[in-house]
Amino acid sequence: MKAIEVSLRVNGEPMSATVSPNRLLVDWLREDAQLPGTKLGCESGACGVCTILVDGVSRKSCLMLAAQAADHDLETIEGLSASAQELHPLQRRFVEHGALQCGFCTPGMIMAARALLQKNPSPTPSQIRAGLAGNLCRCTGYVAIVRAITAAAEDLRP
Amino acid sequence: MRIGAMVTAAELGCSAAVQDSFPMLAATARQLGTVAVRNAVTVGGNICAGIPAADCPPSLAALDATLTIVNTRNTQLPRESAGKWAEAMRLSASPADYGALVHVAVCARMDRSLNRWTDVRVAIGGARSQPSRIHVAEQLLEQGEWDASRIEEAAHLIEAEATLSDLRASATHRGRLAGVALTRILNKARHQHEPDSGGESAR
Repeated sequence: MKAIEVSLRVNGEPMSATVSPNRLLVDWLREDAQLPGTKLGCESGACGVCTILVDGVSRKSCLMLAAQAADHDLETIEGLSASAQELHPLQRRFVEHGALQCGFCTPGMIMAARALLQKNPSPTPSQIRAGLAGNLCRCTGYVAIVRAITAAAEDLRP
Repeated sequence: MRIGAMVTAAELGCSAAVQDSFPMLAATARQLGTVAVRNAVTVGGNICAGIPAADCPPSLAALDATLTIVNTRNTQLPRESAGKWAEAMRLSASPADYGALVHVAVCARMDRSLNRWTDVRVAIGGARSQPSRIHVAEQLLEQGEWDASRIEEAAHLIEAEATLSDLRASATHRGRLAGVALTRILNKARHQHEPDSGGESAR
């Protein structure tokens, strides 16, 4: 297969790459772009651990080819906080509310929550649950996650 | 209305034009998968993937949608189904499930002069090897009032049309779900259009 040249932005940084046409975006992010915060779970769009933002909209990076990301603006969990020393309000509230246990679903949960809060800065608990319907947590459960997102939404409102 | 093949489910579900003219189709799109999946799924892909449980085909079939399959010479014009009553229902184990166990979509026109439903379309997805119109149920529903016994008979007809058994559900189970979905849709139509008919609640 003939390799494809792509240029794109990842967490604000312009990047270019040569990718095989069958390279999954999530594999490219984790292995080539060295951004392993995005996880890979079911590889079929059900679990949501690979959720990232593409042009500000949530997408599952296991359901996209790296080549499809050409000329788009990507945001991963690594791009959330301004520096390594500080946490984004979503991250801080997840910690404070004990909204994670093993942590595997957390990057996807937080990116899905970010997409939700960008569209709806004051979601109700039921809107939060609907926004996270595509993100599965198999250990902590969802109660603390919904509370953490509700608290972060308050932090983020002007 | 013309809907492009690359329109995403998220765009279809939130479009003011679609919500205005075909609220049933917008609701179908909003129930498809989950948020990040709706941001990726396109109408064209949802149809052309050829998955029996795909969300859009039953609703589009009930609305008499036509596909314009483009090559260098051949195009087709879509027919009109605005102004009709339409409703769709998706039954699945969970919203994150790969596909619905059953979709049922109904579209019909209330002819006020005859006080009868005409141009009835009943479509089913997920329960057969392909999305299908259920003509026997359509004919029955055009023959007279949608009273409890006619609705029950229509539910039995659609129940018998479910043939798909796999690891997720048996054909019998899918048939029962289809019957329940059709009953709920028809009762809704009946109560919205005949407020005095009273009585029967949705099954």
